[in-house]
Amino acid sequence: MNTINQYYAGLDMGSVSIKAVIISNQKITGWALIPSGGNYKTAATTVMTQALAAAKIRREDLCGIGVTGLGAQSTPFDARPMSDISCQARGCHVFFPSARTLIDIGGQFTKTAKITDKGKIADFLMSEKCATGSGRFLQVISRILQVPIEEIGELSLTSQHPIKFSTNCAVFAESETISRIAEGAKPADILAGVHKAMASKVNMLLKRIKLAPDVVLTGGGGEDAGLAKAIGQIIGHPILVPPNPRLTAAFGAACLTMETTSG
Amino acid sequence: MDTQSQVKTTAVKGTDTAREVRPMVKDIYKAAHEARENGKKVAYMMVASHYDEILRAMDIVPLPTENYAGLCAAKRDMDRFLLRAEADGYSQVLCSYARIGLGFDSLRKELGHIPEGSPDGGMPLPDMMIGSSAICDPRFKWYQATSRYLEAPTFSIDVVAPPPQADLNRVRDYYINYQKEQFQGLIEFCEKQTHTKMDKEKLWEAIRLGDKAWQLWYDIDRLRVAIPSPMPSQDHFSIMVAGHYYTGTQKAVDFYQKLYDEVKYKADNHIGVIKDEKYRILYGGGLPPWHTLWIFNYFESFGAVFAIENVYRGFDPVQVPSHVTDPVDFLAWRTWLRATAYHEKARQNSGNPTVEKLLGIIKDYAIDGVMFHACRSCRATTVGQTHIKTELGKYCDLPMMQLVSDMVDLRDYSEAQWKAQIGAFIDALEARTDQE
Ligand code: SF4
Repeated sequence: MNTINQYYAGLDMGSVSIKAVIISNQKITGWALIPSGGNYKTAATTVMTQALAAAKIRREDLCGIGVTGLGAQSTPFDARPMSDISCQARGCHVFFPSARTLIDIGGQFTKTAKITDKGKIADFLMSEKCATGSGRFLQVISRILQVPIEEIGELSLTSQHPIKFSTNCAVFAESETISRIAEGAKPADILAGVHKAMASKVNMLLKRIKLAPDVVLTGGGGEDAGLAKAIGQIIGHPILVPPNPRLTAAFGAACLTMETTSG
Repeated sequence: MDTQSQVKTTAVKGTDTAREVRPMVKDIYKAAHEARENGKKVAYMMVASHYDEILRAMDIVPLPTENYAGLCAAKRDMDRFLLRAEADGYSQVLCSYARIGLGFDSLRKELGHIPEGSPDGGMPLPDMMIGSSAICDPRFKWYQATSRYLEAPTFSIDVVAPPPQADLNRVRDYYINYQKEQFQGLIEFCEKQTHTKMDKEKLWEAIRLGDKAWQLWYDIDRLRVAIPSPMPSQDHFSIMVAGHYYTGTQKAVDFYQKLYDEVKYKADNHIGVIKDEKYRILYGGGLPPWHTLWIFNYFESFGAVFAIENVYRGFDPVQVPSHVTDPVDFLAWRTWLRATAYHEKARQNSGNPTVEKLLGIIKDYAIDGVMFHACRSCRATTVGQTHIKTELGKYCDLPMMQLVSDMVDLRDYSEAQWKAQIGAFIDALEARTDQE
């Protein structure tokens, strides 16, 4: 079936934000991203409306909708829920066909996966239910340092002497950060220390799934250049980041829907 | 994918015989209440401690406290007991089975009666408590702690197993003699409580029935190599009741004979658990999620059947030498042989008996993927699980997944996270099939 000029939507209903992506022939033609808020259904409808507007099409123009993410079960659309790791893998594969390892750092979890040359999951591992293994850790620290989350990456890159956290627990790290601020530590050094702590947690997961290059970083963590650098250093491989890494799962969901719908 | 939110805890079974287990569970507690009323002795006890037949031979009614915890979870009535134990100072990392048991006994002591609405009428007060070091430390210490809440004499038996690298010929007699002393000590304890001498003929009879039931159970599991799978793991987590809680009784033998006939019929006639069996999964380890057993049906909705499991299984049958003529010697020998069944294989290959057992299962049952369940509060089945998974990965190339929660404590469970992981696991199975 010819899929050119056919539109598909992917919706990633994450714990922190909901993203909608519209694609045509594996190219993004419109997208939107909003906070998940308290009501998944309302947020999903809103973000889809915005993405459709950005793509300049109507709901009726869509040939299919794929949905993924922790909130996928609450979708208001007639859509097939899909595994977010598989969607991430699919999305990464389109951007980087050479990708064999995926790291997704989202609001609640860090997920790692080995990807086949066809962009499918070969093995995967998720972080434990622990804030240190997720974007939540960065949110906590950025709040204490009063540095907007989108600026922490660049600031961290200016660090000369990253501090070493004596804890791997986000709750204790919060009090430790406050102590370090009181001792006069620079925000850049604190952030670089946080990035190192997170990178070492990610590295543990990657060792267990036996990482293979190329390595791609997605999710909110992918927007943090300091974190990408810290992970790259600890694993000894360059880190690839797709454009707008928070959209990869939604993009992958749209691509998978296109493949399954068009046969 | 099933998008409906699940509220029930139980799973749809694959066999008709497994559906007959629920009344057997009820009977465990009913029998204990009746025994108390009729002046018979009741013992809190730990399953898979190799001593069940001694209790049966002495007419002591077993009251398995671990099973009661699982029952509370299956009924989603565990929080009041867990919270009570925690309020009494027991840590949330202590085995949740033990916390439920301790919380139940604590509440009963405060109320002066069994807590209102306890599942299956609750557990009556025991006349004695028999702990065990088999498998883990909480099983040895639990009843000592229970003494805070009730007065009943306690005996904790030591059940020993040599490390895999031990020279079995050199250490064997020490282990067997020590184990015999332990059983002898338990018998003396029971004799004191019941004021009755152990009748060795009755013990032989209980052993005969116990071994017969377990042989049948083993034979049923061997039938499960059939494709499509005739009996899934969710059934195992029911039918194990006969083997673990009715050990040494005719009831267990009859139950397994009936189940054997049904499973054999299904295997012979290619009647599978689900219509379109795509993937055969091994439940590699960890206690079952009693709070959410329907998860097995969730896997089935993707064509994945749990063909076999490695938890709460009966021990493989062992051959005690014919020169052993004393039933207590027999129990000691049997315990030794069961504990060392995979040691030789381990020495020749991975060094790990559990890995060897799993590798054998994977081959025999044509397994496509392995799932482990890490239970936060069960150190015995969770510590080392990641290591076993990693070691297993060195000898076979199968998708494996570790789900994390607890056997009964729902606070450690996240449905959304499990479904996300299961989705990825199924995709990994599918990708593997595509590549073949
Ligand atoms: S084996 Fe695990 S669940 Fe059973 S008593 Fe020991 S710690 Fe508790």
